Amino acid sequence: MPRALAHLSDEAVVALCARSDEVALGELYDRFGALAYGLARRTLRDDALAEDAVQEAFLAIWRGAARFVPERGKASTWILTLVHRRAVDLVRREQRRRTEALPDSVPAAVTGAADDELWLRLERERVQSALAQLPDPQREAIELAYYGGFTQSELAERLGEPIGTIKSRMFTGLARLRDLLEGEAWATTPSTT
Amino acid sequence: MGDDAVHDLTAAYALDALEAEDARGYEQHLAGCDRCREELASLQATAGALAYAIEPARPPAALRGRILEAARAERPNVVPLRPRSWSRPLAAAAALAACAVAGLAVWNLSLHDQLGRAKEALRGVPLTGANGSVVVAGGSGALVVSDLAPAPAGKTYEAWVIRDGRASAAGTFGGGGRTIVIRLTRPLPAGAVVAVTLERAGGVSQPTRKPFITSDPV
Repeated sequence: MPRALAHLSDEAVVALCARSDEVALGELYDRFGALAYGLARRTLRDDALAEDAVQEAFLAIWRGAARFVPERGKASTWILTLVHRRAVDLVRREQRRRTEALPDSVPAAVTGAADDELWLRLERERVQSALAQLPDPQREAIELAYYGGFTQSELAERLGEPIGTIKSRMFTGLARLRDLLEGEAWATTPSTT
Repeated sequence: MGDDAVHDLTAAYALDALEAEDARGYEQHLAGCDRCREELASLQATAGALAYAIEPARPPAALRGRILEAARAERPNVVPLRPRSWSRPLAAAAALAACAVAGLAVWNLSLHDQLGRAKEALRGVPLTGANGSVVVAGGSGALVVSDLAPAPAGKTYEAWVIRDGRASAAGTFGGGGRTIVIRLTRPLPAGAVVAVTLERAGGVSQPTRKPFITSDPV
């Protein structure tokens, strides 16, 4: 089926969702489904639970679309926040606390158009390279919190550090990551580091 | 709680790393703190970017259908089915009413006159991406938008009339205010779509990004 809404911005498609347009929800799924599933699977380490998290998140998008305010942030941020929150809620409920490397990832092919896929790959490299520039303790705190679903108290216990140290690593690391990502967005040539 | 502690909580909240009780406390703090709201918006965008560092994974094919089915099943509880059949005239009427209350004029006629005399000729077409409508009269039109934030410094909103895949510039405006009315500087042929992009101050001859507001075909 051709994607009738492919020309619209994410924000416009969310606004269509608010008007009960199921085609719009399908379009958001086509844009973010693979990203959402990849994220949920990384956190939950379980395909069935990852599916649950993605389904709950898209229903939260469907229910909450009317309350989304474009001036406060991008639709992609809002959507990924909802996905992450569902995944983290589930991982805590299920008491899943595994942090070993993921088994070989499922085929990563995305269902979208070729330029979407290329863009996703470039974006992945951009964020990975920014993460790699963080000092190890900051990167560790951010990765365990975001991908692992650990709370700050759990991290303090796990890493044997005071909770204040964990808080400040998260804040300093995330603020540094923001600067790196924003800096690169404005750069005219790729960073060599 | 000192400022630094609040900032640290902002990052942890953006990463969903607060215990449930702390998260609730932070949300209460957030309601009264502009500074933290701004900080959170930017750190949440950064946290969202972390999702892109992971290889996307293809979900099982059945998941898409399951989600759409569940969405369909719960929506009738919230909004009547086929909302478009009534929302079109309703949206136009609401926008017109807002203008009339604000004492604004479209063209040289008051909206009351437009409504009274030219009820047949005047049509409202709903927008996606903002509250408001395109009001169409004959072959010309006006964009009526409510609650649009002012354009950032150095930027302007620009309206476009798009037909057969070609965009024609139809006026720039700054936004802000409760309801604004922008008379489109281009004719509005049947089937055209009106769209709005954010562009550099002064406007551009072709849109440089995807519209964030679009109308249904007029």
